[in-house]
Amino acid sequence: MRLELVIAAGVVVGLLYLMVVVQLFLARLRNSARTKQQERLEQVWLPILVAETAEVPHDLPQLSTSDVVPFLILWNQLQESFTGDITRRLNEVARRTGADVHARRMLHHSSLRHRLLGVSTIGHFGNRDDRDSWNALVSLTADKDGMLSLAAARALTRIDAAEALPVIVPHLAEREDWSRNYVLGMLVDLGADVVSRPITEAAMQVPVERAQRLVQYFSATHVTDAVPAVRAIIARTTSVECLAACLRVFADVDDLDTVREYLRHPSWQVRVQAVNVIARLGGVGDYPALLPLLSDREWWVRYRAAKALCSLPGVELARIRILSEQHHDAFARDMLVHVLAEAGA
Amino acid sequence: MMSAASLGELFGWASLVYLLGLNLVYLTLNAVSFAVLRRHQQRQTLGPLSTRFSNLELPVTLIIPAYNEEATVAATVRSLLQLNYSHFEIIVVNDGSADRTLDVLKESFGLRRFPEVVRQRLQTAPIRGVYRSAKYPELKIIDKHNGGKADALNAGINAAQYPLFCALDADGVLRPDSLQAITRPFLDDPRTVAAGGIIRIANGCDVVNGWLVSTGLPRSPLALLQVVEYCRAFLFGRLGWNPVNGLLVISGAFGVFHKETVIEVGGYRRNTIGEDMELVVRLHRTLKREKRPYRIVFAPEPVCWTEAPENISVLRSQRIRWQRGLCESLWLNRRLLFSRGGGSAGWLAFPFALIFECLSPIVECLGWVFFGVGYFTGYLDWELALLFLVVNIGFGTLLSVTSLLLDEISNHTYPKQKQIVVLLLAAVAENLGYRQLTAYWRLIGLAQWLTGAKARWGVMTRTADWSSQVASSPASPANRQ
Repeated sequence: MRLELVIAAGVVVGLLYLMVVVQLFLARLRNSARTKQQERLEQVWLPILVAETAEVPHDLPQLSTSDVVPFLILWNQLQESFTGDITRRLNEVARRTGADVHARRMLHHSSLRHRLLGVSTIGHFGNRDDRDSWNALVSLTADKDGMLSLAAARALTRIDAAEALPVIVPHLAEREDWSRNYVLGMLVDLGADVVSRPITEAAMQVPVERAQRLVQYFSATHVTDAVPAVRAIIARTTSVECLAACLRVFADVDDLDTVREYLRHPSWQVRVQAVNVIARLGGVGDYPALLPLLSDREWWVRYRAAKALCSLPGVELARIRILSEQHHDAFARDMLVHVLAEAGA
Repeated sequence: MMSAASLGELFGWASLVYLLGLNLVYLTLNAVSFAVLRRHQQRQTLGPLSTRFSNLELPVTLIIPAYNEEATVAATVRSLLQLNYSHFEIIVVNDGSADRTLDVLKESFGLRRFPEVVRQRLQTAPIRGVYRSAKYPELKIIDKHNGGKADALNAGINAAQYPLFCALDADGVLRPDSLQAITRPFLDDPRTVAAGGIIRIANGCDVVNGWLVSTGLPRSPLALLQVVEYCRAFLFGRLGWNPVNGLLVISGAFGVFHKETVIEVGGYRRNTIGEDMELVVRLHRTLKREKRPYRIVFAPEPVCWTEAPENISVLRSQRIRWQRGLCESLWLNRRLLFSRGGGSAGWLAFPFALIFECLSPIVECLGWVFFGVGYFTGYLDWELALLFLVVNIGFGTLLSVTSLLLDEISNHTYPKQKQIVVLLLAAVAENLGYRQLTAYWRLIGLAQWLTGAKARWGVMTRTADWSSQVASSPASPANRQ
């Protein structure tokens, strides 16, 4: 009985071992085949895809089914790298090879890779008349996979930004898994003219906790739209994060009185943002208000206050140097010396 | 009453069941790792497409604690200054070196004393001075009294100005895109608070001016066995925990953290040996307790290459230290174990680490002694002893080979056919003595931790014969604890 158990265990382990070793060599073969396929594709398609002439040749090579995925990866990389006429040429080549049909099918594929590739490709095609694909992309913006849903949002904005924004703005206010940097990049790409109104209006309508997520995208909007929205939001929130986000947006000297009130806010994150606004918009009149902040218990507030004092119009560095020697508080003196050294003074 | 023979047999079966359980858990982690890797690769489909967003990379502070690193530190900093990343600063923390580490840095980078006020958010040994370079504005040196690696890292965190920090060993070799790879999880999911990557063995590779030019295998058999061991430890040992957010270790050699979150949990613990693991377990414990959404992830890219000890006594000290670090980390954060709301970290990863990593040296070593003595004295029948061998060595080899397959699928690190054949042989050889030896060292580590014996760091003599930078320095002082 025991011997049989030993033999059985040995055989199972041995077979598994052999299986893994065979898989290992097969994986190497696959890697090698993939590299060769990539090289061949680039050799054949790169000259066609990025040719300097506007006209696409009539006799395009046949795109085999096995080449579709690597072809579309290459095609999408080129789409990301170029703008203007060449992207129209890329679309024309893809259409003539039937890659657009494959891309549409990919939207419903079970594999994440295929769906991502399909989403990106459909976005680059930018065909507004393809309502089936549009609807599929709208559904995908609600997918639980953050990367796929964000890629779908980006594709929609490429097809028709004005129509896409009402679809994606609610997601911007809700989804925690959407990368702030990617979203901001996407909005900056679209331009303030397009995104400004939908984002700022939505921020004023949604509950404060969601508005805060939208406020962080205000840097992609027009200041003229953002500031009124921020004024409205700041009046109805006590959330430290929201206040700090709102203060970052202020760009009008008319708001300085509001901002100055926050120099004494209990939260240092708010105080530091208020100091930053004073540094940007304030004048020599703010000198006395900033002085006490050099002795703030929080390092960042002291640091930003010292920087702000150095940058205020009408305040000479010599005056700051004297202050750094005569200030009664050692923390303030150290910080002023630090900031003066950074300024090279 | 049971006879001695029956008791012996009972122990034999118990240890066999334990080892079988251990290997089955590892095989499950393996299967999970394959699925995770597949999904990761699928998610990378659009990876290269995001070049337009490269200016939106999150700013990172690289913190390099340095103690007696005069031979390597300048080359490391020089290579880091060339990293392919849009926004980063480098902070080298000279932790009271007894050699010319600070002088070498001053001479190499034209450093001058700077009247910087360092924010003391985490308590550290006193800072003697801050140095900056006019030529390299992104470089900052903090000169402080010796306080150990954790203390140096905390000083670096205090001085860091960016939202993410990357803890990096002074002898670590990165790829130009390492920072991009390791910070990507933070971009992909804003809930990410920590990310680790694969650490690889640099022995045998070609490193020129601090950059890895080509991969190779070490000539030293001891280092070669560690190549397979690292493959296993990093690929399925860590990747497998990703889907359940149960990763408990991010190597101190290269890991990126969200600075504010680390400060909130108190920074690196200064009086522990395994400060890297302890921080990660504490992050889990604290964030779970506070019910905050977070992710601690493992990025399956080879991002950092480091020199492995080729000397058996250094390796022994290292393994003893690692085991002590593991025990300490688990003990200090024992409240995570089966805690309410502890999630997968408290209910899966922690018990796994405790039962199968912390206590496994006891069962493994006792098993070897028991089966060996029992067989040779005729106390145990040979079939049971053979079954022990099959389970222990057979499964061990299978797991090692599986990790090579994972590496092939994910990174294709070793392109030559000959390298794979050598690694396959090493995967077998690793289980015929090396693993048993490391289990014994880990048992010593466990015993030392239980008895509270003073930790010894040994002296790591860097040969760095794989690098064009000549480097031979004693590191890791006895007083760094």
